[in-house]
Amino acid sequence: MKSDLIYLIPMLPLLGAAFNLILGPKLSRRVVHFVAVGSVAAAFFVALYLFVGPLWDQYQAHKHGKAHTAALYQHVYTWIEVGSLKLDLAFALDTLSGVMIMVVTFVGMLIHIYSTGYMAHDKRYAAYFGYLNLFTGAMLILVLANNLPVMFIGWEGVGLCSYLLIGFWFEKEEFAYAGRKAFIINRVGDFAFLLGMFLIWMSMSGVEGIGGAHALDFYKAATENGTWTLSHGITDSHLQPWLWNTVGDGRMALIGGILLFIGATGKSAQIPLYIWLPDAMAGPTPVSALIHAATMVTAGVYMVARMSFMYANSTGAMAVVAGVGAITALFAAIMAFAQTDLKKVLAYSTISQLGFMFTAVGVGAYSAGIFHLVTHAFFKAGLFLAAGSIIHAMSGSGDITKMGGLRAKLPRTHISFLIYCVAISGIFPLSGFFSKDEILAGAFGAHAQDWSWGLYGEFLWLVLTLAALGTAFYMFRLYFLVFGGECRADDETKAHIHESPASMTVPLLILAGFTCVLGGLGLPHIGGLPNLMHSWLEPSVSATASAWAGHPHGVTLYALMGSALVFGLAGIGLAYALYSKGPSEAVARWTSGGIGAKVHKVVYNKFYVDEFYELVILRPFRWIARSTWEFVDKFVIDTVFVTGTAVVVDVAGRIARWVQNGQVQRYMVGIVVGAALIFGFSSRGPADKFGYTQDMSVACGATPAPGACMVTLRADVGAGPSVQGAHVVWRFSDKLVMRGFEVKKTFSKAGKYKVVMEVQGGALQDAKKTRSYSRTIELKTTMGKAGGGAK
Amino acid sequence: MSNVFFNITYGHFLVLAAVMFCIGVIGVLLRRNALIVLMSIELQLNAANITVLTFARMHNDMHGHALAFIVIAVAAAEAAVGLAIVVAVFRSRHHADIDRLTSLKH
Repeated sequence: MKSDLIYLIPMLPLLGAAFNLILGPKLSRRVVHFVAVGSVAAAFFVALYLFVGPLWDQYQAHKHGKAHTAALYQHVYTWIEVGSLKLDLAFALDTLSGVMIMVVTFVGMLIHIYSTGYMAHDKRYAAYFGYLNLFTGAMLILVLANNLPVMFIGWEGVGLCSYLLIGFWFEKEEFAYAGRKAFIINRVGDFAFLLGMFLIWMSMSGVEGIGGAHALDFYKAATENGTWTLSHGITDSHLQPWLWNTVGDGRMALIGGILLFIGATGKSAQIPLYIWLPDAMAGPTPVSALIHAATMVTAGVYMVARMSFMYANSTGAMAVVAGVGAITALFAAIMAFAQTDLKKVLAYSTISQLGFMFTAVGVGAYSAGIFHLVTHAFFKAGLFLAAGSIIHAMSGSGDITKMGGLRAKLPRTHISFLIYCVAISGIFPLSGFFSKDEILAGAFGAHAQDWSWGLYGEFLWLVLTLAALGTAFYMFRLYFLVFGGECRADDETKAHIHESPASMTVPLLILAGFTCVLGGLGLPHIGGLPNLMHSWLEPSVSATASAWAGHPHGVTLYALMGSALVFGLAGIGLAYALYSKGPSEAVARWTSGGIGAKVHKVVYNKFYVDEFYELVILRPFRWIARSTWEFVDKFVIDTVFVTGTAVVVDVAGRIARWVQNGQVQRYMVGIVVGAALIFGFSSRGPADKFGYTQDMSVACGATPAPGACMVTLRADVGAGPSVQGAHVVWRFSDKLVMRGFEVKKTFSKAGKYKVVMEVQGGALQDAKKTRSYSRTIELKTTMGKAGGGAK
Repeated sequence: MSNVFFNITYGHFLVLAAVMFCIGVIGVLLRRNALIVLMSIELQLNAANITVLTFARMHNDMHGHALAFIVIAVAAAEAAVGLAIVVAVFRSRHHADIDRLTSLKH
């Protein structure tokens, strides 16, 4: 079966990673990058073959009404089988993951090629390519997974690679710190992701059909002939559990959706977990392009689209996704205004664009979100690669206040950078125009049936439009500061400015070419224009969800497109007016005093969000960590346990050494003294007391009767060897004498009697001396009691 | 008073054994010559033998006699080995003073 090739797509880069990480350091650079690029290229060709071959056939079959045959499925092996839980390491290639693997392998391949030029002089060349391959493999596992846990393997894998590559130059403390920051913030999100996964399992595993052993699968076997179908698509009745299954007081789809989305905010850098992405720019620039722009950060968007059958059942969860996305888009765009580092501007731009995508998938415009993901992958990867080329030319500095006038010196970088800028600003006819416009249109018309905020869609549209205006402004501010006006660099840097080698500029031009033409995949709904993306993704995302997103037609659509274009051009115009020849006097005047300076300061400092986290989370955490370290670690463990053990052993050793002196006679003294002590301690001296118990089953009355009132007397003369050999004599008031430690005596009637106990002898006692002890015992009447029986 | 000397009872045997045992203990504790120490140990073993035999007679139980033979056999073996060690030590060190024989502590 052709679908059996799916595993090769993630496998090839993983093999490349293993090769480069294990053998790479000993091999020449040529071999290393041949294997690295070759494995990704091979994965790309396998993906391409599956995409245009079997997947295309499946898609055509689906389009012509041949039911649910949209996915290629491969079961590699059963990973975990515990009780009713069954997790397969299984891959599903459908139209959605098909788009993703094309983007990941193709952009990944270009960036691998670019890296051969960019990293050419790095010491850890093989490690770099090993990590990059590992990342590509993990990302492909993420998108090809057929269930949430396998997706989570990829999810964690890309997080690990992100950490390794951000901190690739870990000799610099702040770079290593940036890597740790990214990793730890991602862990916060991953924790929520896990919780969401557990919640879905808990809630859905008991449901027949949809649940059972495959509750976490995206695709399930629908019929016995091995057709695989999206979780929601089996029958409509299987949607009901997603709608009505509850967890506590909340609906599962809502809580699960929000938890998974929190995971996505970590991975895809949305409010409130976005703060790691700007710092992640510490990594090599191709890494920023591949991981922190094109692929990994879009994993959250992909996940929401993948779980569309769940989000479709919770308007609340979708509203949260869309709202957070829109706010992030605007917020990050504003923060990009005042940044002075080339890559930081692009980082905030990425956060902002991801916000657009989340809004799209949040309102159910999945095809718009994925379409923007694709176009963004190309132009943002291109922007980063161009930034790498610029930084390369500027002797490693990314400070845009020191650039300018690079147009003539970096012609190929300049033309591709310009194309990306126009595309991201949403100017017709480049790809960004189509994808962004589709998101705006989707948001504008978004109306959920059971959602009472009538203008929520319009609100999202307004926020996104403002963000789009901001996007155009900060991108062209960047463009003019880098390429316009005069060069502001110092002379030495200026002398070194040069265009990058072909291995770097060719990928730039290829990406620019795609940026120009990709818009054709998602043409707007005008006349009979086909929206290929929409119809391609239709089998893979929940059909019910599209009811959420708006599909404006006619005049509304023209108006929306026109306004988007106008806002884009306005942003560019504003940037041109203020920055066309470097920072203009107007900017300088505005930021030098008064309210303008204050606003600039707040924006420049990124709204003090990092400082806020520092104050609220990090500082208390550090305090706790420090006190735990001081007390638990240094005192309890180091001092009490470690040093304490040594002290105890030392003291015991000193005592043993003093005792064990080789003098046999000293040992003998020990034995004799010990024996004497045992002898002494086990003796309890003469106690010379006695106790008694009356036999209550014998009739005992107040009047004399023969054989009545039986009592047992028990002497206590002590214990141990020292009292051995003692004799006891009992003397009663009726002159009777009895001998023995325990005697039975019969009295004629109840009453009080005096008894004398005499003790003679005992091993350590004077045999002649008699010790006596007297006591009055009282015999009770047993008349009328159970077992008494007296008349 | 004369009864004590002429009517020999089990108690006399036990007292004899106790006295012998104490002499043995004191010999082991106080004497320095390894040979004398060995002899004192023999004394203690024999005191124990007398006690065991006395109680065996008291209770008409032959187990005590059997035990006494085992003790005699063990004592013989112990004496043979002990004497051999003492002789060997004396040959190498020209003395048998157990105060100076402390090298086994290491």
